[in-house]
Amino acid sequence: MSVLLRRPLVHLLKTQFSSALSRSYHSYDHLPYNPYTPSQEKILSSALKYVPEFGFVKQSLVQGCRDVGYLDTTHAVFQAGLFDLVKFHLYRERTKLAALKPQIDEEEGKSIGKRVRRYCIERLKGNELIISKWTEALAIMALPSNVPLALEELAKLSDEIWFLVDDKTADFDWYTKRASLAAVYSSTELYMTQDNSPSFEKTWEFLDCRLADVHNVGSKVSSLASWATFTGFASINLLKSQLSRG
Amino acid sequence: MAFLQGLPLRPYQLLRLGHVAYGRFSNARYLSASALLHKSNSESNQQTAASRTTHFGFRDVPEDEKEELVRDVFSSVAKSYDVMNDVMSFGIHRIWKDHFVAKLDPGRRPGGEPLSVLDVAGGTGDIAFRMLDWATEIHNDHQSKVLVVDINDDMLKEGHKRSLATRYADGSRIEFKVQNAEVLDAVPDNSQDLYTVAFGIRNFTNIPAALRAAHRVLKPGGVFACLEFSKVNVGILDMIYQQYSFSVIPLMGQLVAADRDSYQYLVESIARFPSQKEFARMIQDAGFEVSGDGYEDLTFGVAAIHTGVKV
Repeated sequence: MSVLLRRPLVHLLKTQFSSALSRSYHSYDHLPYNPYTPSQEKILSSALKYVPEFGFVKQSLVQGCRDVGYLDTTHAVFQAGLFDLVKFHLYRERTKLAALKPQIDEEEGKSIGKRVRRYCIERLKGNELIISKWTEALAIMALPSNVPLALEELAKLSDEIWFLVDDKTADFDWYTKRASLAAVYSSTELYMTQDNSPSFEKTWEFLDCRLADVHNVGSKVSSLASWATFTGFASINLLKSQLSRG
Repeated sequence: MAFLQGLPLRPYQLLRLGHVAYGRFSNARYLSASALLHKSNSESNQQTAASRTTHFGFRDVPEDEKEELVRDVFSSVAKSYDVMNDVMSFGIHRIWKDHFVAKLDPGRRPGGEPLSVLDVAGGTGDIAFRMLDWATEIHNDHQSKVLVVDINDDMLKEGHKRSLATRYADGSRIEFKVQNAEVLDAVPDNSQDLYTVAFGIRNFTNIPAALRAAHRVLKPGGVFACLEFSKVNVGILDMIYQQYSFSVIPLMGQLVAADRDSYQYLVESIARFPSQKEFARMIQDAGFEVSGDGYEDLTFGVAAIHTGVKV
């Protein structure tokens, strides 16, 4: 009974308190939280179609409103203005990744490294159409008032990728893995804006180098950690034996 | 200051009651309002629906009297309105208003229609002139119109007088009308692109009714935008702000405009106005859709801009 009741109740709550239901944890039982109403999604997705032509500017937003039958003034409802357009792009491309999981699991096999690489590539391909205007988006994200949310979105992307490769880390690695992937991703994204090679071959090469760096540093850090642990225990045992001898 | 809100009368109000000749509200109406209050306290069983009360600053007054009390405040400050705002906000209100207009970015765009804008409680035309200037200078739009409505004829007269000194003097792009924001009977349904209300909504007797009226007059896709004093969101700054608004502003009102009571009302009405989140909730309840939290804080939340769209 409770199972039957849960969904309509949650649905009701969601319409009543939509902003209060942005969960800070993942739930397999619920759809991921969507901060956009259907009309906002329609406006913003049609506005993104104009970005390759006009860029991340008010005109794209106004055209987006017009295309789905709203007024030119409707754009004023977006509190963060153009940053809302950028955020929507980030949100949409991030949430698209989950649908690729079955395909990537099959094609890339069990290797975590390969699958992480593939997700990065798939996400970067989401920027392909607007890559010539992406520096405008980066500039908007770099405004001091926008930095916290832009970083949050990057953290969410990194978390999403680790989640999708079924990483079950529960120790301090949880943080380092996310931080290093975020660093790799954002530097590759920046490289991609300057890449003129056919179908972004250079970008994928760049990505491979960055991932290899992390792997090397990571393995060095972990060997350092095992060395430190071993030496630590050995020293304590040595002290113990000295003390017990008197 | 929250602990003082529960008290029926604050010390200065006792003082005010003691000196019959003191201040603007020591007229017959004010005395009758407090007499009514007294009566309703002692003979609460006789209270009828007609004497439902609302707040006027920290006082509770019968709903049908608030409108007139508010009108009195603004009639008395109409001429010194700008001075008053400058005094209260150190001139920052000009920056807020400019930001408000820049954010709404009103104006006819290539391939679009000229806009019909309704500026509610916009008596002196402060926001209306700014929007027309923005449309004209940024969008080269010489057609969009603003209808300024206010419940107070004195404020509208002041606005009309000011408009004669601008390029909109012929009245083809700006119009002034006395209207109650809760009714807006001269504004047809689905007729406006943009509804603005700047530093006005907290004085309305029935805010939800005004929001519903806004929803009625806007076209689908039309935007409701409100600039209003709000709650400071940094604890220590809030303490400073409360001290400033309750001790300095009424004193300045007395010194600058020789009208302490009106200024006292203004700071009390600010303190009584709902927080950013509650107000965003009220906007949604009236049928508007908001984006994100639905508001933007200005100067740590001293003021906030709320927007909603009719879908």
